[in-house]
Amino acid sequence: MKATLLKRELPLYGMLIVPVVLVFVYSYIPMVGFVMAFQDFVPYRQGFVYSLFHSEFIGLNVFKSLLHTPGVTSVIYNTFFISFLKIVAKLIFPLIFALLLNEITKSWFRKLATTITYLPFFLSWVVLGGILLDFFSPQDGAFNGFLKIMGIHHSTFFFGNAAQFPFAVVLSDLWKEIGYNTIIFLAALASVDPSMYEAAVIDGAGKWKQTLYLTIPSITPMIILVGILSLGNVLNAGQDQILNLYSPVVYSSGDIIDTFAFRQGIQQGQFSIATAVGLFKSLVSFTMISIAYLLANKLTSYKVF
Amino acid sequence: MTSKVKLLSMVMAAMLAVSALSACSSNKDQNASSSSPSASTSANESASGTDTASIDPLAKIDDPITLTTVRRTLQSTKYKDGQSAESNPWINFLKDQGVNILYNWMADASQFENQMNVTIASGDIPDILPQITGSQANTLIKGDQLMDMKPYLDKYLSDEAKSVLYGDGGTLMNSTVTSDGKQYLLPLTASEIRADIKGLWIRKDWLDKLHLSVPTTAEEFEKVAEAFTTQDPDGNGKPDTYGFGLSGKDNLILDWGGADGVFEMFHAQPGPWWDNSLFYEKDESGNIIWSGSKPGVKQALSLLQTMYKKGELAKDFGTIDAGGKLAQDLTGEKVGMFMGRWWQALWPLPDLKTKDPKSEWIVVNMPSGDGKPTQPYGYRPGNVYVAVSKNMKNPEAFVKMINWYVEKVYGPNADTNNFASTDPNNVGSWTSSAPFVINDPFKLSRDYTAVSTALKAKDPSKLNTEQKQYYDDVQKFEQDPSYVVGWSAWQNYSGADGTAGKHYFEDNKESDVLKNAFFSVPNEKMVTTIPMYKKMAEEMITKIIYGQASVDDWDNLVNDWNKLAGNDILKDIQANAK
Repeated sequence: MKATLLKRELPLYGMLIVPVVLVFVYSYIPMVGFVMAFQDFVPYRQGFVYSLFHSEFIGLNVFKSLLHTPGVTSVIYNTFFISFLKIVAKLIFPLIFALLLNEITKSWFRKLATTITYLPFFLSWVVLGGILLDFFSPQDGAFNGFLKIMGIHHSTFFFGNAAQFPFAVVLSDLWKEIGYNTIIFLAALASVDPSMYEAAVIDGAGKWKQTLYLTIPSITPMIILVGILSLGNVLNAGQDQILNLYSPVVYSSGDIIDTFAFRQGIQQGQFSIATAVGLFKSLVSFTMISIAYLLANKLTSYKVF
Repeated sequence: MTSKVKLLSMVMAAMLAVSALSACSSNKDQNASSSSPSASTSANESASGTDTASIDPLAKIDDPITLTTVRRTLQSTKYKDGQSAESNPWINFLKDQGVNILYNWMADASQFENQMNVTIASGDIPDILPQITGSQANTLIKGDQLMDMKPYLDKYLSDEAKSVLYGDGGTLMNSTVTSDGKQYLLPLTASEIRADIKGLWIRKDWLDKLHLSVPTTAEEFEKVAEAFTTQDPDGNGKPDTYGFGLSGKDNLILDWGGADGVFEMFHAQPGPWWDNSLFYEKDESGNIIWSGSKPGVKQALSLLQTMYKKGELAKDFGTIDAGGKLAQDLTGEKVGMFMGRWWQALWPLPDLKTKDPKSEWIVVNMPSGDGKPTQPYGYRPGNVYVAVSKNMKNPEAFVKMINWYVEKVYGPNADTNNFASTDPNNVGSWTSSAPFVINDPFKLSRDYTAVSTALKAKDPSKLNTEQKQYYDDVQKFEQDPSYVVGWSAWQNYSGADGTAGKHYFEDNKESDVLKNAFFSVPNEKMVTTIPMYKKMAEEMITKIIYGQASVDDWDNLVNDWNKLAGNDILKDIQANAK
């Protein structure tokens, strides 16, 4: 009995070797490099491995000097603030949008709507950044031109105002990415058994009650899954986007860990700092994912593993 | 959608890919390093043992060697059929001379620096580093990865190459010699200091149209900016112009399109330079001070604040990038004045000239804000370096490559057709196809003087091929004002009053430039902290100009910066100056 089971599963284990090796090589071996976060890393000419073992060990000094960098607290705050808003917005609005689209019976319209909302997802922030800045420019932008026609002469510039910048970032990101989660939710909605709706109608439930007591509970696991996955991204507030949209005047509210690390670590080639920031982000993300997973398990007994 | 892998920083991932590779190649490295001591001692022996007179700096290398290097490429570069980065007149010539060039990797200009960082972190650098930044250089020197080239330069450099590299009396080359007399970094691509200074570029046709004269004081400067904003200088009936172009997103206090010149009007300079150095100068009593702490900074800020309030700067100048939006606004006839470098007539202004042949620019010194005549501020030229790996076995071959380069490009036997072509269809013969480029620091001013003199004398007989081309272009432009290439040549080489060439290379003598009192390679402290300063200063200056902060807040910034690192850096510089 056991022998046949093993025989049957052996090829499957064989197939598993390749991904396991890949994950080991590209995800686990690299973790050795985290030691750089605790070193004054100097690349010696004897090679990378030699440098890793011969650079001076300085404990938490890299983290300490990072914490003493001016503006670093606002950088951390901005990161959490922007990405929290993004996570909530990108969960709620696509959900509402998907629920509404789902009620539309004309399938051509539904397809058109998803396609149109999905389109900006494929544009890069380099392109969109330029377009947005031009569009909202108070000097000669279309948006303020429109305001003027409407009789509003007080020109406004969302991306040049420290108070408005985070919200402008969240909204533009929502506009760009709303199609992605909408499609996931639509797929989940499509898999709800239609006979349950028939039963609900017989029981006298209207559209609103159907949505509340049937549709939403049916796709709750998917909502939670999307939520958990995005929590893992809590420290990714959108490097590409902000690098292309920010400017000195909004540093105080728009500078995030990624842009900070980009300037300090990558542009300046300070490897220890770049690694320290990477390690910090990984630890926070790991904690957040764990918490979200435990919560999901407790609240809805939903399990990934 | 995501995985934990993604959360590791990009650098880590890249570096670790390299770590796997370097693990494989570590044996090879050990072989190389175990054999290199003997090789370098033998090189030293031969360098010290043989009679200097018997060294032929241009001689072929009898026993062919292979040198590794890397290459910075441009997407737009298209080689002729049969040619490539690895096979072109340059590479073939070097092969004939006994040097095989092997590119470890090639990366587009936008990725080159990051790729180089990864290579440096891996500890497996090529023999020749054609372009490294100051911070990369600091890391490499700390890791003992670079070769001291001083003995080899002294020994093998040809007289011709010496006259090019040390043509300024050695100021430039010696600025990278360390305090203990070692030279790891060669500023071979740098130009003379005048190529880095800024001038005030003004729309001449707008000035004439509004019957204004060239501003010489800060008040007149502001008046001209106001007229350019309110009096419809382009005559299209729309209020779509502004007086002074400023790119607040990237170049606010750095390079062209910035406000640096406005500070220079008041004899101060708070901006950093590309190599992460700040500007230091002597005060009346001869002490070295940081220029950003001078009171002139605040006067300039209050002028800029006023100009912004009156609409003479773009309302969204804070998000304008120099290479993108400011260039667009310039060519779109929206900007009347800006601070520019000598090459502005090559880019982006030809696009404007094409669109509007009547547009014309005049280049002048900064108007004075305080009655005293202004002088351009000059940082140490050269922010990237050529360097040689300490593992290289034939450093003398590198010096020979310099000699050959100078012979083929600058010498009396120069072969410009094959090695210094400017023909867009013959990329393989451009100087940039060589493994590394050597800029004759004085080429610009020499070309300017030669061409402008020849034009005055109407005698092009003494000009070389390239200069003759400028000469012809200028003449063609004078016949046909719609010839835009000729317009660029006219601005840069004709020597006519108000043109760029005359401003940068004749009206300003090298001695007119106020040189940075700190004139060497920035140390690690500067390289790590000055980017923070740049960010703080940009934020503060933008806020002040927007009116969200008061001019006096600049004092707070100076205090913060001094506490962070400013005082330490200044003390170091003062101590070194003694």
